[in-house]
Amino acid sequence: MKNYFKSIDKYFEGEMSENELIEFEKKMKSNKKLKAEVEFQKELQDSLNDKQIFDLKNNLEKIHNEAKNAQNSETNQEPVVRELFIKKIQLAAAVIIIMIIASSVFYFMNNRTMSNETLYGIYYEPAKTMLVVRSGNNDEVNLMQALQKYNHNDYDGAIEVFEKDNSKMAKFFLALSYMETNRVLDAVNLLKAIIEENDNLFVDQAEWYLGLCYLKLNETEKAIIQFSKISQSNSIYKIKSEEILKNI
Amino acid sequence: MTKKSADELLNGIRRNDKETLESIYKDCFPVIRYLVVVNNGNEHDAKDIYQEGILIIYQKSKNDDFKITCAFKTYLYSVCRLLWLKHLDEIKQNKLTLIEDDPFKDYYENIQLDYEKNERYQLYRKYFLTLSIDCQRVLELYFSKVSLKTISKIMGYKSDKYAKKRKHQCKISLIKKIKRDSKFKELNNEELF
Repeated sequence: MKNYFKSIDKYFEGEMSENELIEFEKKMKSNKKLKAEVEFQKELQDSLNDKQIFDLKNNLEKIHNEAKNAQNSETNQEPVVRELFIKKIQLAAAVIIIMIIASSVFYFMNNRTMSNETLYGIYYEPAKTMLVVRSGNNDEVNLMQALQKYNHNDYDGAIEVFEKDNSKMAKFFLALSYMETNRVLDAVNLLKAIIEENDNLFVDQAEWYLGLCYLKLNETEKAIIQFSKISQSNSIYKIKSEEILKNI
Repeated sequence: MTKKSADELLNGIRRNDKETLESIYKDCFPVIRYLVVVNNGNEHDAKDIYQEGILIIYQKSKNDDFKITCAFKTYLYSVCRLLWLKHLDEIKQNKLTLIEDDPFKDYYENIQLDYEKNERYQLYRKYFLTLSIDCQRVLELYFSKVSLKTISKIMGYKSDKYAKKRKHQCKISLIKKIKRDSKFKELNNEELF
């Protein structure tokens, strides 16, 4: 084959005369070894001209090594092991969090910071009455008198009057008077009715006192729901409700 | 990473664009590693197979008619899977088998040819780098179709004739080295060389 090397060079360099070229191509057809040699040398030439594939290979190697180094600096463990390890940590963390939540629920259920009664004692205070002296038809005079009775802690006397009055104000103070006289369930029903009407000045206050009623009744769950509702509203009792929720 | 189309990725590979190569690595290497590691391979094998796969796609991308009609990741995976199968077959540990309705069946023959071509390219480069720096430079110039006159000037040779002689010596030396490697015979029809 070495005899052909010079001819092959000439062939690639385009130095052959027309006759030489025809002759050479004829030989390639009949001589498989020559053909293979020419193809090999052509490929060798192409490969050395294609530097980019080697740059590409170098780049791929670099990227792989960089990724490996980044990984090793994080941890020396194998990635699969590390992933498992992370999963275990996540699981452990989840278990710990659940235990903390469970124990704090348990703690609050059993060692609550404040009893419902205490909370009621702290937050309950009688509503301020609006003493407005008006022109003076009989009903209004009676209402004013009842409110005065309420202010003076004469709840039974106030109730008597409020029960006969259908005004919203009367209903509200009737409910508060019931609370004072330990008729809490009656108070709850009235407050609920006021809230349901939803078109008067007493709704926010009714919501608040309803929550307090639940505390008084030791209905913790209902109280939480009620104070949550208030804390999510724009009620003037929003902040107080949040405080109660923290201590309930 | 914003998802690039297969064409954009091919373009990035052709340009040897590092950002593209990094995003492909991030996206595809874990799957290839899994494929290899669960089938009697290790991390190092996975790296080799992955790189082979990219180089094969690079070779293909030089042909303008080449188009990837599925997701790039799927294509690369199928190429790497075939390469790994081939490797397992060589070491007689073929536990993966080609499935009959493999959607990439038609590609495999071409991939095999490209794979062998890349292997030969690497072999050629390996021995080229064992040549003297002088020889490497002459051959590089010569294969880039630089005239003997210019080669002689660049290399500081006394004459064009000497440049021709030197180039011939270097080429023969390289060819001999390559042909002596048993891998070369493996990759070619032995009887012909």
